[in-house]
Amino acid sequence: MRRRGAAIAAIILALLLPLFSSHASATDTYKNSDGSAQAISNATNDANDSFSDLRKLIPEDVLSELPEGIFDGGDTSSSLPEKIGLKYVFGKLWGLIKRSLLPAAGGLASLLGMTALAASFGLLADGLNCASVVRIFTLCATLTVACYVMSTQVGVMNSASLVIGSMTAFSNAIIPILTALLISSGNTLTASVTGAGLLEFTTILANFTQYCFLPLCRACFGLAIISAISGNGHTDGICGIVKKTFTVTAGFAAALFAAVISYQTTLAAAADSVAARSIKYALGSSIPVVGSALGDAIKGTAAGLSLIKSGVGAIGIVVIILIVSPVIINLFLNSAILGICSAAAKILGCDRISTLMAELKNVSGFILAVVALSTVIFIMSLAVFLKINPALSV
Amino acid sequence: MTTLKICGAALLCAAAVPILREMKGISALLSAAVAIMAAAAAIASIYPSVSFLVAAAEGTAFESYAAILLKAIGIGYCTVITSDACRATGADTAASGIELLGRAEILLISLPLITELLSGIAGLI
Repeated sequence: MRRRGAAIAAIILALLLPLFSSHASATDTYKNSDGSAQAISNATNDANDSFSDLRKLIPEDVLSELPEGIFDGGDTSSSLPEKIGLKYVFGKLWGLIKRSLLPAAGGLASLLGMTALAASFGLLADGLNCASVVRIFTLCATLTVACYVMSTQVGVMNSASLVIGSMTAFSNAIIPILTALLISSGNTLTASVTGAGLLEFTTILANFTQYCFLPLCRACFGLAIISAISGNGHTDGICGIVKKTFTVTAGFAAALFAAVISYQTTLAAAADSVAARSIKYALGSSIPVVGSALGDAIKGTAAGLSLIKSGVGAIGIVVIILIVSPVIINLFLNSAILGICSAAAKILGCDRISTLMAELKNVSGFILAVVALSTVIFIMSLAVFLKINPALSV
Repeated sequence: MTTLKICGAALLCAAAVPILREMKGISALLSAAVAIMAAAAAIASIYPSVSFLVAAAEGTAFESYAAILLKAIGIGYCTVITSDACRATGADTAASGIELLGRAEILLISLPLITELLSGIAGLI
């Protein structure tokens, strides 16, 4: 009686399995003596669907940077380590740095030229023996430099805002794909827990960055300009407080996020693993003849799906790196340019211009921190998916 | 050579002013004339430097800003030279008025910059 009940349960489970895995087919397994190989083949054949879904999410400019044929063919996932490995990523980063260096050098030359021009006119103004006229001229010179610098900085700030938006959009689109792949691998609990949690966290982070920290950066930028023009004190304090607040808040949130996701994923993966083992045991012991073959097929399917999941996740991480790298490199170079110009202005005796550049450098560094921390959190969220082992492979 | 000539003229003026002290009007006018002559010579001597700066700024992204700076420095020099000449003749009130006018003029040509800056900041926030 108990044996019959177990057999019925096993059959029901076998019927339900396609719900979890679109690739496990009992018929295929029965027909093919090597069920495992067939299942892997089925799974990798469907890889194209996941990759084509992923392809649609990638911005055009990033898509053109990805290696040729990355989304073609059934064996895409197996060839990925060579195509988008460390060598590829560092090669691309070096290429981006090389591409950014020339415009940055042009920007540095322009800004230095403007500073030198203002300093030269300032020297001419020093010859005037009327303090009030010299003061008003200094204000005029600082205004011209501030206007010029602002025209160059607005683009940098807007690009930072845009990149966080597109990174969030990409993450929010790729997480459901990875969640679906996890569900197919039998990690139903892990998928529901991790997918929902990550989506929520990335949305909160993106909103916080977009609507709180970037406007604060802009306010600091405005304050820096105004304080440099008025010459009454510095905004070091305000920028410092904003920077410290962001670093502490975002750092704490990231640590909390990593801890919660880690233990949640570990627990859910363990629960999924137990459930999958029970299913496989029931199948193996209750279904005569094909029971063990079906178990192998599930294992093979899980392996195939794991390969696809790894491929999608890896491409996702590379895409995020490619989306954010140009902006991070630009922000870094921008900070360096402002630092150099601040030093040059100090050497030339333009204290107000030097203060202005130094303040803007602080704001640029703050934006760099915001973008870098957001990127790390987005990459971490995708890495969590990559680390999850398929429950059915045990 | 021009500098030597101007210095010589200034020394002559310095020597003549105590002699002409009794003729107050003439001594003041002489002082003002020498001051204006020296300032004109100074402007002539810095002209090549300013031309170089303007030429360097031509065709660059900050050409328009260089033009504003040039105007400002020109107004500054005119103001200071005139106010010095006024002071030399004892017209201190006129000198103050001229300085105020100069400051207002520089502020006026800076207005487009202030507007640009404020609209930029408003656009950012």
